[in-house]
Amino acid sequence: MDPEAAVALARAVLVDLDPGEARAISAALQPLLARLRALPDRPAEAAPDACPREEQVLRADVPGPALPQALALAGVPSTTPEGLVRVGSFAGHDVSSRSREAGSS
Amino acid sequence: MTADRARIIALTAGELADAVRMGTIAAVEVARAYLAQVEASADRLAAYVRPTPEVALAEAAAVDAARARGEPLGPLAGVPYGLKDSFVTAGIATAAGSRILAGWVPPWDGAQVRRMRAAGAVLLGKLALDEFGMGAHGDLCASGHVLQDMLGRGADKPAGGTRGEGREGVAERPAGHEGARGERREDVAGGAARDGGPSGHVVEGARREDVAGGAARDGWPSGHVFKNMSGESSEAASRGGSVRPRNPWSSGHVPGGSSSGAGAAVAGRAAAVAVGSDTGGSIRVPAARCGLVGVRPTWGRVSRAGLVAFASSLDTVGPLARTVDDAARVLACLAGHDPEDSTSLRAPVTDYAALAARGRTCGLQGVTIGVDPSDLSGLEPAVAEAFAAALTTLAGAGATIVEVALPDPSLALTAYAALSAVEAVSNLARYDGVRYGLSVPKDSYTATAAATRGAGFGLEVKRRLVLGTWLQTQPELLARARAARATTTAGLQAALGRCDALASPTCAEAGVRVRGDVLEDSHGAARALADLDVDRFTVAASLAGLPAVSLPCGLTAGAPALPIGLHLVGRRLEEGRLLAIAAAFEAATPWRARLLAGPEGA
Repeated sequence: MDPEAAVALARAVLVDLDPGEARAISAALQPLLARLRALPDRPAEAAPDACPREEQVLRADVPGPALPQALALAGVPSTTPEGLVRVGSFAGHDVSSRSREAGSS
Repeated sequence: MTADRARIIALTAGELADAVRMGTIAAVEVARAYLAQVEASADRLAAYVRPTPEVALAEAAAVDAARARGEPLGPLAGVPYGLKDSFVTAGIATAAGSRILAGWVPPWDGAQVRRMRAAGAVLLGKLALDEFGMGAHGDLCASGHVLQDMLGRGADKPAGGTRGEGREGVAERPAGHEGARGERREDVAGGAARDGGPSGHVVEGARREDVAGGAARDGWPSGHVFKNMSGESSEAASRGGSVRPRNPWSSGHVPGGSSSGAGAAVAGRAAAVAVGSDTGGSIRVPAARCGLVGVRPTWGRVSRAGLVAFASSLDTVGPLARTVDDAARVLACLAGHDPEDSTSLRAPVTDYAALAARGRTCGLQGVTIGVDPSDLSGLEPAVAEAFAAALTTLAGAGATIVEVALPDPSLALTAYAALSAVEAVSNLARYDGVRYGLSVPKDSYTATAAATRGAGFGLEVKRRLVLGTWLQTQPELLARARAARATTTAGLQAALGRCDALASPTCAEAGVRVRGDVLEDSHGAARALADLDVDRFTVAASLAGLPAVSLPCGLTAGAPALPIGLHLVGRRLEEGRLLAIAAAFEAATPWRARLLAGPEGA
């Protein structure tokens, strides 16, 4: 994985990486990726949950579950008053509409 | 230190609870003694990120008042404890070692603090940890500072355009504690003798290459073989500012992670017991490094409601204590079904302390302990000697030692690295700069979340997020990782079909030297693998969801004397049997008295 790929992957889950971080992460992952690729290719039945699934498309413009804002925040006991103020600062068109549209596409 | 304080902190948690219950000592007196100890040891240990003296005195006063009213007291009445800062506490900031949660004050108590309070325990404060529990040494406890350390930057240099703007735009800073503790942190890092090299594992060029290339190691991070591993002074030490708990046995060695503050506090007598969490070894490794008993219960045995999640199929909650009896008492209070955690088990909780007491008096007749000899290659000689002596002790107490064949530990390590990273991507998705802690405001949600997460997560967390994200695009590799987990689980279960517990050292090395900067990316790569390998003996039980305990089995002969841990894995929900074996071993060794005396008791 080269540093550019690290930046793109981080971006897919909404994490900004600077070039130094991307380079460090890229280097740190090389030996681990080699170990991963060396894992034995066992039949799926070796693990009950090992069936390959359809590849999940990562979208940088969808930060999480595409839920309406009110539903996403309902029942989240740790949402603070400050958090609600911040949520309010992002108008519905930013969080809810775009996410809903993206999620339904 | 006053005689009273010395007398109080020398008592075990069980002895303290008994004394408070009988009225020979007041809970407030105990709390004051420990708070004085917390303060006196703050610079030396850096174990607490947030002491809570007001809470401690209020909870202790409540215990004394209940006793005065003639009400029955809980099993941990008046026992002062520390709580890993990854457990939420109502009205007390909880940051999980991360900058991204800076200033977040949860409005509710997690199950752990509620159960400890119900048992009569007294909260001394929140304990340092590696960010989100992602660390093996306890040296990734701060965010910005550690990030700069890992990149080899000066603390005064901006970290890049976006990040620099982000810092200026930080909406919330740590409330109160950060500024108040900042000077102390600088003193801690700046005043301590940092004789470690760039990495605890790899210190000099040639040796770095050895580790990076996977060659046989001819030296150990504890420094017992290489006496002069590095003459480099640590730039990070002089910069100061990071929170890195110290091992009370040696300021030059890490306390182990990720429950690093918990290990340092209990071993340094700044808490009678502590509550930590264990994903791949985060209770057991610091317990081993600090000469303590650490228990990882069966997955689901203790509620995780209120634990800041890292990898949900692996996360567990358990105690760190000085004795098996203390660990058993705390586990009994924490364990049990919790409707707020859908993964918590309904199985009844046994009386762990009673089972431990039985093991202590009855020994190990009829108990079979399995050991995989092929698993013991590459141990530091001091560890190999201590482990061999431990097996002799177990056999002397009546146990039968049998050989078993366990799955290749490298399979488990790789599966753990993969699966925990994938789960972390999901669990950490909630930190978006909106609901919690740090926020770097931008003109859209997406930009705000990316900037906040970029500024708030440390490099190690980002590394795991990148890995986990990549793996989600590699279903074939993920399937292999899950298969490796299944193989590991099946192997352990098969071995436990013919023995009561599996024994190994907790760690292959007796200690890891405090690290400074990682200077080059290639060394960072070696460090990432070396850090993963610290969990070589612990991750298999994590993947299998089985209970495990680490307890002291010796000290290294050289100076400084470093504790060595014995690791025992038991059958599902047989924590009681495991603690009975541990108690029998503890009673049969000379180490209990030596370790009870603590690092300064030699």
